[in-house]
Amino acid sequence: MNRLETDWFKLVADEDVRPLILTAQPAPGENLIGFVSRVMEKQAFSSLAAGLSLAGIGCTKPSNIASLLRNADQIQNLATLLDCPVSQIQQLLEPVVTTEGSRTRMTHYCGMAIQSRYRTFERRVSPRGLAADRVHLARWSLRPFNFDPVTRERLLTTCPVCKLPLGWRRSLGITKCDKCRHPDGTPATDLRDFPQATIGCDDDEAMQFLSDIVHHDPAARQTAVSNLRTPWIDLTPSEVFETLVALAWAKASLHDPNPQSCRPTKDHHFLSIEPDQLAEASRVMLGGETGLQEYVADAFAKISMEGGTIGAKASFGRVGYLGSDKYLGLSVRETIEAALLATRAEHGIPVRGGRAMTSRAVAASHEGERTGVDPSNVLAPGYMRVGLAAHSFGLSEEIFNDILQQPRMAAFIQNGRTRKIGVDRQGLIETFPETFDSVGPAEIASILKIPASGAQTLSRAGILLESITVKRGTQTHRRYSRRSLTEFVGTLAKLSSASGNSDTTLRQAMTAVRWPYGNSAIALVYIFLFPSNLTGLGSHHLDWRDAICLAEVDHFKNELPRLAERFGAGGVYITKSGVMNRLRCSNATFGSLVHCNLLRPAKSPLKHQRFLVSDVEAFCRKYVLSEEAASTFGFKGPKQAFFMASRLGMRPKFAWGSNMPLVFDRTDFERVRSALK
Amino acid sequence: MPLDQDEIDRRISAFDDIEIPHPRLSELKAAVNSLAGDTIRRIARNDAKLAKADGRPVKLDELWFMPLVGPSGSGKSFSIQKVVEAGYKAAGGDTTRIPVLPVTLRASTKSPRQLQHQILEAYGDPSAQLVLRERDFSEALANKAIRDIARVRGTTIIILDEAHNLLTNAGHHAPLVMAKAIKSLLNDGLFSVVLAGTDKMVPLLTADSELRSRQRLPIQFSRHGLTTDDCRYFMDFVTHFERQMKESCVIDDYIGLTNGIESCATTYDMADGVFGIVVRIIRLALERSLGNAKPSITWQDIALAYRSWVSVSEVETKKRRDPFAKGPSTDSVAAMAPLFEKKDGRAA
Repeated sequence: MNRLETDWFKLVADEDVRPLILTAQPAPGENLIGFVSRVMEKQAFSSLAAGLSLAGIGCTKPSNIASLLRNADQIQNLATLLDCPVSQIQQLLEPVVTTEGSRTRMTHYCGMAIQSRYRTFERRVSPRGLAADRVHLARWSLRPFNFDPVTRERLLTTCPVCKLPLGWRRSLGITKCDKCRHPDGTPATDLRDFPQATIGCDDDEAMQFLSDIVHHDPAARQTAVSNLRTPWIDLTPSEVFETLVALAWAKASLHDPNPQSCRPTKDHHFLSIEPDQLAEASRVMLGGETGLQEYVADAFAKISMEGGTIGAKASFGRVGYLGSDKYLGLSVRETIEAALLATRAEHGIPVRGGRAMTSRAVAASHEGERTGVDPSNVLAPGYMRVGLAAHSFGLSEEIFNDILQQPRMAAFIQNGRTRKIGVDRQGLIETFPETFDSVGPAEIASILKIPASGAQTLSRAGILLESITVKRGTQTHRRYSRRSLTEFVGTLAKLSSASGNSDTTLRQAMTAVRWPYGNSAIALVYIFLFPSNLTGLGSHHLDWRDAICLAEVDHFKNELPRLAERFGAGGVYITKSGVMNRLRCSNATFGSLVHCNLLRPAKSPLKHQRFLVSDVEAFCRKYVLSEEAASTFGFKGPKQAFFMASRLGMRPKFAWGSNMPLVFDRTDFERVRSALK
Repeated sequence: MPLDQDEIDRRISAFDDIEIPHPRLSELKAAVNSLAGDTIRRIARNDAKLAKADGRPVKLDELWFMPLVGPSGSGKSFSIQKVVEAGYKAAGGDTTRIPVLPVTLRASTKSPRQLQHQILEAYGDPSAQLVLRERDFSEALANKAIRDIARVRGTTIIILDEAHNLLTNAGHHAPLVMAKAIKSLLNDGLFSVVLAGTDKMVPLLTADSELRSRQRLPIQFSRHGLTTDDCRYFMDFVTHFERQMKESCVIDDYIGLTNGIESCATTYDMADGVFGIVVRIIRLALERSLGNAKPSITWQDIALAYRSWVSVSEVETKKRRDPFAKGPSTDSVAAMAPLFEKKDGRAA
């Protein structure tokens, strides 16, 4: 089960969930945890987590249940326990979702999409709101709003008596502190007895707009938005909310030294947003273009009084970055950008290409005018950044930087403006073609169809030329000249066409193509590329150790007869890996074969363990291992092989042990295979 | 003609369907009705107080408790069932209402928390399972929840059957502790309580003086003595019971439980003046006779059934006198004699 999808809360009860006798119905605007707490406060227990466990929801922190409850069974169980329709519970859920192509986490607030960072799981209450209606409202969990826009009361987050944060651990009552208790366990502090200070904002229209935009009823929100004027006329309530927060936060953090971060993230950020700033933001939206212009002008007036006038930060503080705020809609950004430009134009601040210039750009512009160099061109023509160049060469940036440390490379490096380093890529390729026109082992392996480690062997045989060797730590990174590889591939192609005639031996073909490489290279060609040309030797007769061994032989021609004696037509021995390749078996199965004396090591001219080819072939004629059967019929393992083979009419002759590979009769195997064909 | 299995099952079922109201059932019903009326008035007053306080603490009017005492088999549970059914009848078609809530206490119920757990369980509330394992358990909160549930379900009286279980194998503090628990149910204005049990629960009734002050007149379902009136009550019940068995075709022939002074005295001695014991022993005898494919019960069957019944408890065996081996006691015979003075044959 996907944890993200479902399993934040583990299922703790298997039995059927029964409805509580004392239940309630969700009130308009109530959030899920408030509703659950309101029901649970009527029960004979006080722990909210314990109450949720009755619905099979196991959690230690129930406050974020609305966000994390996703399992359909658990939602159904909760609805059953609370004796309300599932649809009502689903309406109260606030799942966090990420839209396609965006990393912004969004959630639903009463059907309106907002960024999940704007919603807190802490318990914040308005005592006056609780006194009016004993319901915990969802709007109190909006982090940018540190007040209730309806009662205009600042929200209470800590208990005035115990001074601890209000929470959702106990359900002592929706109006009570969950931690203050009398000795008999009954709640001690009624939050309604502690009304908070009201905000001193006189702009009733703006406050009404704020309360409407966070209203739980979508129709009320839509009505509020429909009353807006140009340029906000086409915005959705969600966009309006986002814009309100952006405008308020920009004003709240106008003097922030790092104004590029366009959204509040930390608790103290949200706490710094004052009701007046939200009211001002809503006044901007209610005022249309004029309101926005005044808002921008006000920011400019406050910031420019402190000094600079060039650049977004110096001119407008954080407001200057709203035009490129990625969380705002395109039309909103354009509108704000236009207002910023208009203000700049009004105050004679330089603008280029319809966009404001930064103070550094302006300084560079002045420098360009003096020197005649275009300041927008950071790197000289033909130069590219180090990272891009490294990527184009198939190198990591670290390795490429190591190479650039060499003195001979200095001529191709340019220290560009704004601390950017340029590299003359074309110049590097032309000057050091062997170095920078290179291929890696993996590419060689894919071209020649050999193991990646074979590239180094080919290099030692003089076939491939090493172009780059960089030691980093315990590892050595090698790359090889592309030209040498191309030449080798071309020679092989010629060799292949020259030896196409069956009367022509490979040696004759090599002579014909003027084989440019040495004898050891011939051995490698045999081993890597034309193993079947070795008389009587299949590819499975050779392993990598043999290849290394042969690669070191100087006079392959002289060795060939002896090799033929060892491996050739009259050859009777096979290595362990050869056996494993032939039988397609694992090391464990091979051990079992030897242990059961089905294969016996034989004495050989070499010191390594060898087996008689005849023994192996005899075994193959008689038996089929489950590995081979699996690869033939597509079984996944011994158990499946057993069941599937039984269905196909193949009975295993025996098995090595419990859960070990099976051994089938070759006759049965061939019969089934031919039948399936 | 031998009885087949279907017929045996039918007769057993017919026996189980026989219902003979306890002579004191009407007295119990009247007492419960009176208690319910008083409780409803006090609850209304309490609800008004609570509504006025809007969740703030108030002192509620205490409710009442009424003991229902009688030995095992004296018909308490059966009578309670009738009272509960009468409550359901009064509730009309509202299936959610439980005017009288019966709670059969378990032997493990030894604390206020377990008592509350049992009450919630009787209501079928899923929160019952949490009450026992809640770390932050509060008796006051649990009582509040039970009171709210009682209001939702329209419960005014709770009958705690087998109340003597509260004290069985409990320590010497148990009477006081459980008396306090019951008192808190009354003080918190949840509902009035009927405590039904054997005389072993008497310490519970006397342990707490405050609880005693909330007590109404107890209903006694005690064994019938050897006075003429008691004997007549008892023999009337037995006669009626035997007639019902015959009319329901449980037996083909009368047993003769009340045929003559000696039979009456033997029956009385067998049951020790307790109705329920007569019924239980006759049922065992019926099973024995039907098992032997006999359509009627003989005295021999009853004697064997009696002995097998008393053998269950060694203490009982020692205490009881076997009227079938030694004959009825002289006191019983003497007590039954007046019943036959006016009319020969059957008891009046």
